[in-house]
Amino acid sequence: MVEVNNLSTSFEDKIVHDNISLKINKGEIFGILGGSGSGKTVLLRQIIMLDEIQEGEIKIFGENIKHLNAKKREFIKKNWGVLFQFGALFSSMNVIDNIGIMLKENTNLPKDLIEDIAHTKLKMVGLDARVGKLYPEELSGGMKKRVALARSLALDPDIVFLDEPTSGLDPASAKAFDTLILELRDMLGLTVVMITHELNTIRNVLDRFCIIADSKLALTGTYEDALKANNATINRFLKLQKEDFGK
Amino acid sequence: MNKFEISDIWEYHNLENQIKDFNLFFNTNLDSKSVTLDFSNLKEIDSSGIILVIKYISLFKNKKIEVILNNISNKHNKMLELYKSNYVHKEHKFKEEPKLLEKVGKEAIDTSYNFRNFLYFMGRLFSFFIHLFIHPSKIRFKAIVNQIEIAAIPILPIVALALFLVGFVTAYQGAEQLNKFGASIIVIEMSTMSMFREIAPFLAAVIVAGRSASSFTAQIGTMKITEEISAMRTMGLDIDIFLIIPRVIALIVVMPLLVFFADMSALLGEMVIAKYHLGVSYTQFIDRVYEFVEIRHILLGLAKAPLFGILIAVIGCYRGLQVRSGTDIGRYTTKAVVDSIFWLIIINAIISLLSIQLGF
Repeated sequence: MVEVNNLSTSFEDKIVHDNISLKINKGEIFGILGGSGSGKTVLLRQIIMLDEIQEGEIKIFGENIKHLNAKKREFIKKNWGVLFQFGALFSSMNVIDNIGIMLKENTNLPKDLIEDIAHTKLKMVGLDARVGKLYPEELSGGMKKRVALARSLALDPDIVFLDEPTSGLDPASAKAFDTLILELRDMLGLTVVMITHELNTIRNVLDRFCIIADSKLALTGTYEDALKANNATINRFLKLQKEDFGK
Repeated sequence: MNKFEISDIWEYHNLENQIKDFNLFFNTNLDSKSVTLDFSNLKEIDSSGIILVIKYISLFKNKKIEVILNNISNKHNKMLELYKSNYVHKEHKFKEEPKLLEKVGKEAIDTSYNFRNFLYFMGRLFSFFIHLFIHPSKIRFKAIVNQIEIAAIPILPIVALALFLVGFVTAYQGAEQLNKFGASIIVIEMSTMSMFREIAPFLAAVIVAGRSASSFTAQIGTMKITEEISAMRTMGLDIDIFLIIPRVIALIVVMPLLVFFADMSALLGEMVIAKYHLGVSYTQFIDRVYEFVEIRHILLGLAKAPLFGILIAVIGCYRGLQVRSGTDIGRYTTKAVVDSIFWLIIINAIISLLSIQLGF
């Protein structure tokens, strides 16, 4: 699904990525981990074509995203969904219109069907139909994330990119969110790429993950691989997470 | 014919035709006891397609018509169950337009509420001014100087050019008209007087309103959204002393200086037109202004300036504090500029009338 080859990125004199390569397979839930400021978000933004690739290449659906014609670019963009850290909902629209916008822009479906689809997706992410009429400014942080997830799933994408989907949610909501992502993956065969810090998510949801440390990949593999690796950086990272979680 | 085939591809991009067929099928089978949906030739279906199917299943059920699903694959059935359990249908309700009286009443209440809030804001600001007058050590001189620099320096070129051209044009037009009476030379004191008293202070204030009122609202509004203002409050740092009063004082200082600068720019424009159109040399022009335009005209213009400064700063800061969410910033920034220009016009008119009546 996604292939990153020999990616290097630097800002001024700070090296963010030093020759990173990784591969994300179809149908897996892949995590990008790393301390704050380690370049996780930059990597994600490069994959979703928001930030420029300086050196190396990134392929999505087998296409090198550096050299794409407009048609392929549009095709790729319709086949992925992106959930930003704070939702990034359109503030001038209510929740239902936010979820339905891609259907409204890309099809001529009747309005009531689009609304039914939007309401159904809203319920799937665990929100009440009454929320539909509200505007983003009236929602809490967790609700915004759920609505944003519903929006990113509107066109049944093949792959979704989630930037810290459960950060800032209460433990119960976070767990429900994790379960939801697992269910959606099993049901729809979704590929999920997420940035996360939650140890629970790392252990229970992620199939594989990579850890970025000192601008290199310290590890790419499963949780068991990480435990087996017995590498100081990885141990420190995961242990820190455990302590964080213990609070 | 009570069998409908759901075949091939049912995805959002080709659902339009399927809806037509499905609707026809629905309408022709309203009297049937049961209908069959055949899934045997279905290749791909996405959530939009599934929800469309569910929509019609529930429509049939509402008519007490039994729906039989034929040859549905395991995968599709699972999908159907998932979306069915989450399916929500909401009747589309149209919002009732509020009546005229309701709108007027709402607007009146909003306005009076807003006005009271503004008075409260002014009162608090005034009390802080007195407080600072008694404790001058609390005045944030560095912030004031900083604000003066931001408010004044970047707009000097705009003010110079605008007022030069306005002076140029008014003198030119005036000279043309007065030429009919053979008294075109009077234009010098006439346009200089109106420049000093009215046009230069007002135009300078409008330019400042466009720049500073909007930037005050945007800055303070952004600080409110990023919770900087809340943080300052919890630290016991008074936002009036830290943010608002420096801005107000900055504009009180900046406005008279800018108005004087505007006066001189306009005078330059007049001088140029006087030389090339009326043949009055620069020294003659200055002598004439010195002789016929009294100092009180320029003083009146300069005296109005701090008042304009207070007005612009207070409106800009007040609107900034009203911001509650990200979308508000644009709206209140516009409001700040519109309000401050509107009140500039009103106050300028009042001062103008009063000054003539009182003989200044």
